[in-house]
Amino acid sequence: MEFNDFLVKKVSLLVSLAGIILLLFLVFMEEPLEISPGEIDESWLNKRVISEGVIGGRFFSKDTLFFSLGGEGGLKVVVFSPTVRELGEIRDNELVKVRGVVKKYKGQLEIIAEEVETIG
Amino acid sequence: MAEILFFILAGCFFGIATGLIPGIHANTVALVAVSLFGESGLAVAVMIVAMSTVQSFVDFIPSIFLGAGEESTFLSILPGHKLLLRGEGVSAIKFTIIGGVFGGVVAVLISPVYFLFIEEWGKIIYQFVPFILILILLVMVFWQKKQKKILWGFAVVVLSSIIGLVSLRFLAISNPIFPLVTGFFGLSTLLNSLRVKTKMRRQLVKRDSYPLNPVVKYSLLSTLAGGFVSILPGVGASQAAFMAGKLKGKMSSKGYLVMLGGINTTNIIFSFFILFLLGKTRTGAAVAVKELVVLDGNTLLIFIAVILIAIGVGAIAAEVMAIIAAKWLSKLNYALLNKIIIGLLFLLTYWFSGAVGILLLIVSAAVGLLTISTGTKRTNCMAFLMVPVILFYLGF
Repeated sequence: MEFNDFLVKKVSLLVSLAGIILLLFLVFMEEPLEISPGEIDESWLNKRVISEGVIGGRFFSKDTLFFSLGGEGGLKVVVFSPTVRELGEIRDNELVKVRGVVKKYKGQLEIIAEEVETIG
Repeated sequence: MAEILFFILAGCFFGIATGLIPGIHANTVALVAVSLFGESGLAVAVMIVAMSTVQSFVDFIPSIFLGAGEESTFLSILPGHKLLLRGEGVSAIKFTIIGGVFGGVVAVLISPVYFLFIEEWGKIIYQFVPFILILILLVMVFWQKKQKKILWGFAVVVLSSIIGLVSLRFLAISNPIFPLVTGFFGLSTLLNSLRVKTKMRRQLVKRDSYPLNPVVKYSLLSTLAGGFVSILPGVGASQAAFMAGKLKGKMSSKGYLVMLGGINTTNIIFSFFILFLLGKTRTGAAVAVKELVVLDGNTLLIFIAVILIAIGVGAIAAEVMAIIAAKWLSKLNYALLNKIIIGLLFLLTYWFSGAVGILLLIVSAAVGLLTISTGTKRTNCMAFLMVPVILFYLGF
């Protein structure tokens, strides 16, 4: 079979579109990776993770809850618009499991939490 | 000192090898070198600098002779091919060498001015990075004469952006850049070479003469373009050449090749300078160097010395290799060579990025082939990096 430009154009366009759909499906189906807060570095930026640790330095400001995972000086976790349950359960020295996406804000890595669960 | 000299020689050797083998980049070897010999620090860093500089000369050989280029040299395929079809492939390589030598030496000579400029203006320019990148992207897409090419160019930008965003932001994958660059610029070219059944014509090896004025003019243009894009993340040698070409207007194939040679080498040199000045890493090699050494004045002077040595070695090696290639490549089985390289690229991708990397490789190669079959500019594929960078700088 002769691969002329027209055929290559059609095949490559189809493969590109199919590949993009598959990539989006992979993202959607992707299981978060479990990692300890201390191991999270720049290479984890924008990745969805599950991380466990003890809460430290908890404070609430402008409808957002902040705390450090792994105690004082640990990895910052941000919970936007926390629920009443989260506000009640997320306290210093509690052991929690955080599910969220690693982001960078003002040069510091942080987890934007999607779910925080107490396990202690 | 003996250790440093040994590693400079090793870097020159690897630079020749990575330059000659399409799809295998100095950035890849740099990553491997750090993981294997990271404890050697400065010696390995020196090897990486020498390797990257030498490669910037030698990698025009597969681009021009086989049509199998990297992201930085693929623009040389068309003008280089014109000369190749006239049996002047070796001359085409020589033009890129002249550009590389002049451009590289000028880049080193003007480095004090460049350093002062970046220290004064670097941070201010960085505030405008997203807007400059958007402007470059718009020029890349819309500065075309035919409406059909604008539409296909736009489609390629959209597809590349989606692939870049998904893989760089949301996929849990290590080294996503490797399969993407290899797919967009390496694998797609190799697949196309297989399709069009590239054959080598008998090449002339002759003494060429070069008028000094255009050489100086195009080399200076390449140094300016290389210096300008060095402060822009997500923009590489190909965009620098594209923009310089648009600014200069019509130019001869020879002039264009001189300019490309200059841009390719200065882009590498400035990437190391910008690492020292701002701590920003523009290439895989710069990332590797950052991990290996403390960036101080002494290291910078050592690097400048290594760059000058490597410019000399790269120029001689590229000319010798081009003459050898001209004599021997016509006797090789290109199709078989291409198939072996394609197999190697798949293996390396799996090693660096796993099964998802293979998917990225195939998808990005498909987009690369789309640019080839529609006759649109392959620089549009760089949207895979530019769009995520734009969004990042805009706070998304």
